[in-house]
Amino acid sequence: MNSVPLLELSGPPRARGITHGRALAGRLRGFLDDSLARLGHLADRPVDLDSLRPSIAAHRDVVAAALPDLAEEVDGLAAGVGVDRDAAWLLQLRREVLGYSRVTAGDCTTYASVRGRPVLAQTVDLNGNLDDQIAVLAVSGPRHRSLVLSFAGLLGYLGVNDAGIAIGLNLVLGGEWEPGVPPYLAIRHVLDSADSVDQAVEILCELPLASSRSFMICGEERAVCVESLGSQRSILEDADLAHTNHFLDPDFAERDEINVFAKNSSRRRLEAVREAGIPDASDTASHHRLLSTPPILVPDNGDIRRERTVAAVILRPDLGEIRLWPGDPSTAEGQVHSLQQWSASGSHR
Amino acid sequence: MPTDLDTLAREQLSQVLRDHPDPVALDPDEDLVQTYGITSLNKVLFLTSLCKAAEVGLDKFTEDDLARMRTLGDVVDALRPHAPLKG
Repeated sequence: MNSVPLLELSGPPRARGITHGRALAGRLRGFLDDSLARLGHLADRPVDLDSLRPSIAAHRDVVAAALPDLAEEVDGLAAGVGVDRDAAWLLQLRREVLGYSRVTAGDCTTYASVRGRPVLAQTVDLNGNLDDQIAVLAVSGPRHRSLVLSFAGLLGYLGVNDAGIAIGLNLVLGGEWEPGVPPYLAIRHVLDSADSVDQAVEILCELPLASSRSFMICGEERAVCVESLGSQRSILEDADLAHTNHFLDPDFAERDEINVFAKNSSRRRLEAVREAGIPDASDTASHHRLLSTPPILVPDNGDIRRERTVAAVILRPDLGEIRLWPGDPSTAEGQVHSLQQWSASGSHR
Repeated sequence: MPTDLDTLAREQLSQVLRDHPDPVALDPDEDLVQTYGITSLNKVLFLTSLCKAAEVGLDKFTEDDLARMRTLGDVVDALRPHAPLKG
């Protein structure tokens, strides 16, 4: 059973970051000391923080201009952990630092449905053995409270807010990856500030994103997928939606850089969801079975470089709830976190 | 087809290796990474080109299948059921 800290983050941005950093200081310092946030285990060439500083600074400049509150929160994280400011920024930028090549396999199987009660569920497939770095953040943001799943000091990854918005994601590969807002921070900004699905989509369309991604947004009545490729966005909407790691928009699909064998895996996972059908929102057992069965479950083969399933979640935007299986969902014990557990001040009832 | 496939596999592997060794000298039981230093990208390129040369559909294999192909012999064994018989 993985130990998953639950962190309540409230107050001004820097204070939220300091709280986060202090709570996980030992764990995050250990992670940073492990071949520089395990990047050395994943990259084809040695990595060191000094050589990454120009790239980190370029990304930070864009984030500071677009999302100043979150930039302050990252700086607070550094102070709380007691590390170099750039190290805390590196934690937000690991995916961009790794970049992509035609050997990147992609990660995550995500689906959402508003056919009955709304639900968004997904596996989280990551390399780097990150199942020892999971945390749940209970954030009192500037506009909304949210529950955010986090890995290794990330301010955002996926989650649900008190406006009834759930958001998940998939890696897709295409276009130029340039200094910009990491999609994980974009997701956190959506959770902090979006009142509606339309607002969430608008935010994702306007932000200068650093890397290609697909975002799954589920409100109480609408499910929308936003595919991002460079500065372009494609919007898909349906009562049932599923996404893996290849572009679904026909124009974007022509520019998909995923290699053919990873694309075959991606297609098989997508077909598995479509064949099974999306279970009713309240049918936790069926969701869990779907998320913890291959091919949707990607088991550990012992290779730290390989993306594998390190968590699975069911998000309920109508209930403000995250049901989480930390680690391999076929063996992990589930846990439930709900926004209703917290008062508006962010204190636990 | 088996001997043709074996020959094709040796030739295609030789082409993606840095020093382009003699295809005949390649050992089907040696680890592609440890012994021949094949990179992840070159492994993708090798299998892609071999599938095309052997007329094996690229839709037959996933990244997991690729990960299990640790030797040249593994590659040939994986492709053989899908390779059209000739002659």
